[in-house]
Amino acid sequence: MSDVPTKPPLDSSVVSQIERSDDIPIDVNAIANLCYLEVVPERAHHLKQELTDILNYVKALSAYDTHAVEPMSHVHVGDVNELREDELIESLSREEVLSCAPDRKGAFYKVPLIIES
Amino acid sequence: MEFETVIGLEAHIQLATTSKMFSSSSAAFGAEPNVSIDPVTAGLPGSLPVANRKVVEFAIMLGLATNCEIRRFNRFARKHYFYPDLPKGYQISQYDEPICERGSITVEVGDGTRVIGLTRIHIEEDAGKNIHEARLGASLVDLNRAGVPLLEVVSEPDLRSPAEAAAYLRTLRTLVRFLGISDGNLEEGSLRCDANVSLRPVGSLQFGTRTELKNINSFRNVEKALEYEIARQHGVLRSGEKVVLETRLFDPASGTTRTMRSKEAAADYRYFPDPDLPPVVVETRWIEQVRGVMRKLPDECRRELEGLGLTPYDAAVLCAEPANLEFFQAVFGACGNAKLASNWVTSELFAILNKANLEIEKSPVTAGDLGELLKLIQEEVVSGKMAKAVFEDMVTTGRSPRVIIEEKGLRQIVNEDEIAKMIDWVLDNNSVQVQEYLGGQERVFGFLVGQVMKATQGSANPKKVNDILKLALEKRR
Amino acid sequence: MSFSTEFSLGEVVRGLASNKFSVQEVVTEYLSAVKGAAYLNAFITVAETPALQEAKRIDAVPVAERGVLKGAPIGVKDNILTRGLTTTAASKMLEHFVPPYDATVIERLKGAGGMVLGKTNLDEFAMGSSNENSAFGAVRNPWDVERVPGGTSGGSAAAVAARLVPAALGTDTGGSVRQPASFCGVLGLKPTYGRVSRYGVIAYASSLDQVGVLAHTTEDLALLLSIIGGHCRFDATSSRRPLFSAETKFKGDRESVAGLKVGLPKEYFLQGLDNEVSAAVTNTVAELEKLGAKVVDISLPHTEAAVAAYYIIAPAEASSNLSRYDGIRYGYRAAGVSSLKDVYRRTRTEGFGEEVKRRIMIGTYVLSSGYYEAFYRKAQQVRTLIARDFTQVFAADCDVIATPVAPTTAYKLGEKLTDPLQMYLGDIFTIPVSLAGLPALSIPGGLSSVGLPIGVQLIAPHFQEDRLLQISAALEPVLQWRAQGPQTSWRV
Repeated sequence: MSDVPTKPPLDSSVVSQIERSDDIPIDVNAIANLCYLEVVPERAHHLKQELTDILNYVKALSAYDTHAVEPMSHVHVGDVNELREDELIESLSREEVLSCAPDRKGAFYKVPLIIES
Repeated sequence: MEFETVIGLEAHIQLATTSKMFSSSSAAFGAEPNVSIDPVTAGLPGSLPVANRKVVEFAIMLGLATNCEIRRFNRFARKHYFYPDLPKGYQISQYDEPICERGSITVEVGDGTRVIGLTRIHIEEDAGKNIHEARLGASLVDLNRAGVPLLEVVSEPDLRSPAEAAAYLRTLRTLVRFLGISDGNLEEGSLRCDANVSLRPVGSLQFGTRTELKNINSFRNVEKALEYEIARQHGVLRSGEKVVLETRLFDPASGTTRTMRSKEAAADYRYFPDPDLPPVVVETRWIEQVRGVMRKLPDECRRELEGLGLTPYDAAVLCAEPANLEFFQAVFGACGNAKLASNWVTSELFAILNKANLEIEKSPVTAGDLGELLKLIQEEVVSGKMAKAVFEDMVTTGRSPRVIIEEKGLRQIVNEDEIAKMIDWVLDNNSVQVQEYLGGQERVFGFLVGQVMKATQGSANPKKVNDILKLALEKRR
Repeated sequence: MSFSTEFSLGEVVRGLASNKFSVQEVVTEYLSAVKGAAYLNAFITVAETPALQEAKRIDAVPVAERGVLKGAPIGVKDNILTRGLTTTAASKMLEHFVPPYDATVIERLKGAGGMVLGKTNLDEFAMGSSNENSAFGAVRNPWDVERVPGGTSGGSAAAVAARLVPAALGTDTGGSVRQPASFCGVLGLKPTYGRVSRYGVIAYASSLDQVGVLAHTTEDLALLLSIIGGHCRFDATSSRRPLFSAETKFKGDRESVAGLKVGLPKEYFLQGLDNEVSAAVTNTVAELEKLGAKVVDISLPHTEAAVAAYYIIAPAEASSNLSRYDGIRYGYRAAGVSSLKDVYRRTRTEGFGEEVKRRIMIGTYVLSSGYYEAFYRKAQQVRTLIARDFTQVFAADCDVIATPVAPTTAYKLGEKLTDPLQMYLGDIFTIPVSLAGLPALSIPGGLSSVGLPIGVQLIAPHFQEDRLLQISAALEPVLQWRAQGPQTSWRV
């Protein structure tokens, strides 16, 4: 069931490992792959150091007791059910939107042929 | 070793809304490429999603129809991956807080029923379409479908055979069509299905390693794909090897499945609550409002039809499609006789629809006209036998039954004086046979009936002819 | 009366309303000022031709039919979409992006008779604190061109300070309106989260981003907020709470301040804080006391955690929001690539600057499997604690809070560029407000010994922008910040 999430990764061993350890495990290349950025080899070490510094700093949050504290995903907690009615609203023309594209073929966006791996 | 099959299905149901899940362009199928587009659909910088109220209500409806618990506090989550048909680089979905959970669907299999558990139903947006043009060395992207609302329905691994899986999917399809929340069309992709399949030794409580099958786009293929995959896994296990956890693609042309990607390379979707979309709180009052406007479910409709005296089989046939039921109800409304209406719809009408390969929505005879014809039968304006001729005319010409009856003079003679006059005339002209009858040769009666019918060109009511002829003959004794 | 670029927005509007000068005169003067101050690099795009055309068109419209702004030109930060006018977010990624639609705030600005004079420079995708992270070069501070103007709305702040526009729109995610306002000696208002529509604003961190206003007078802030604020059907996070109208006057009389309880949070005045910065806050608060306000000591105990929480939450949201820049539907696409994956990789690697990539990497990391709980979820929990700090003091102790805006005055260009973490720590006083979604105002609280402006931050409860404006109006004649303009050293 690939698309059906199990619970979020509450892996307590990882959590405590992060809270305890002085060095946070960072695989710069793995992160870069996830977000499609390239890391040039000569920058990799420096970047890793920068990220480590920042992550070591933010790790300080583990000192705060957040037991039973709700995470704040939205600012105004009481503002809910901001829904729209199921109706059409005139918007942009196809040409207005497609004209922004760096490459197109007729009425389609164009990308290099996708080859399923 | 004997193995037991374990199947769970994930169905994606495209909802029949006017507009998209998070923006106000059209959700209609089959438009010209990239016309159902707006800043949100194209993922333009600065665009923001606003959720469609109707989608939430449709989700509640399906949840109620499948005995789910409806979550009170709902949040949308972003699921990240890169693909050209996904304009924002993330899909808005629900993650660990699906709107419906722990439901069930009762499925008829063979002579019995089985209750299939539902793990969850959640709301998400569809992706666009990539069209691969190897000739051009390019893929083309059409975003019309991007942002169309979907409900993902995930079953428990409760299905035990391909036939059960197909029956489950059919039941789900009928359900969403009755609720009016989706057209459930597998071929057009408004109902899509992935299956998780595994085998385990009979009696084992643990599940075996599963594979996920994708690209199953018809009921026939559900069974075909599962049968192939089950046979494949049998082969793997019998040869002492292990089934590999992977996603496999079904190829309808060859009827086989092949490896698409293995789970080792599983994506990291980095879900988190979408900050652009405030939570949706579903209070009891809202649930009750939705329940109030919900259409009747197929099961309830069947019970009602059986209550009208229809056979369970006919009731089931009429409740297989909302359009069948609607047609039947209109015919019944016009003629007032459920049994008669059911007989005509399921035999005469379905016969001609099957022959012409037509959907009931395209029936050449309207429900009103058919109802009128059945009313005329009951009023004895036309005989049952004549009615079939009238019906054939209705099918070919589309004219109303009254017009046909008048024009062809098919009206039944029910006036007793009129019939009596005709009988006297027949008896006067067949005195030999009358004498034979009076002399004890009762079989001559049939001949005389035939003469009366002939004289009235078949339009006399046969029962009345019988009754009056008997009396008339007695008078001549 | 002849027109002067020294006018406030209100004065420009009144002059236009009484036909003292024409829109064309106003626009021409500002355009010439912009050219003269090109060295500041405050603008990425100057809408010279369209602005002049628009000025001509508006001049032909009777004053009574023009809307409250009467044709006055405004500077707009270049991460706010303007239909037909290039909007870059200071990124190579969007260097040639011409938006097909207007942001809600622009639609409202135009609807109220305003016009866009140009698009102001910023840190790329609003990530930074000094306006040095722009693909189109750093902005210079008009008070000292060797110094930064602050960021990320550095172009807007510099343009307003140098009188290149009477007022400007900025955006504030962790202090991006308030800190440059402080560094450039102008007023900077960050409204409550949800007060102003984000529709058409290029997203950095969606749960924090808010459009703000930079100007010289309280009146100008109020006027612009009343125009751009209020519910928008295209932004589900925009609030339906009522907002004061354009006609509302904030008089700044004694009554609006008398009895006001001003909280001074002890966590904001720790050692290491620049003495002059600290003194500016003390002096400003003393002026409020003279007007009848009461000063109370308060505590916001989770202040110290704010920067860490922010630098998890904001990059996480940014990594998500910036996924859409993939070279397919708009913006930059790397040349000479033949596979889809290379389109993604090369486009993003070449299109984004270093700080943006750094934050995308951090954000990706803290959301990834195995780290979500320890980082992202934890930060959102700490965010709750920080917001709760404010709720509690506003309920129990005070009506508004006064703090420094930044630990220092404007620093030298390049001074902090090599150490991202040190740069982040400069946002310590503005970030808690952002995390809590509160409205805050940066007002000029005086000058340092070397003549650099020092901002003072006033913080109010949710949706009480009017409270901030009342205080600002009361301080305006006392602090006389308009008398203190930057030296015109940048003039050629």
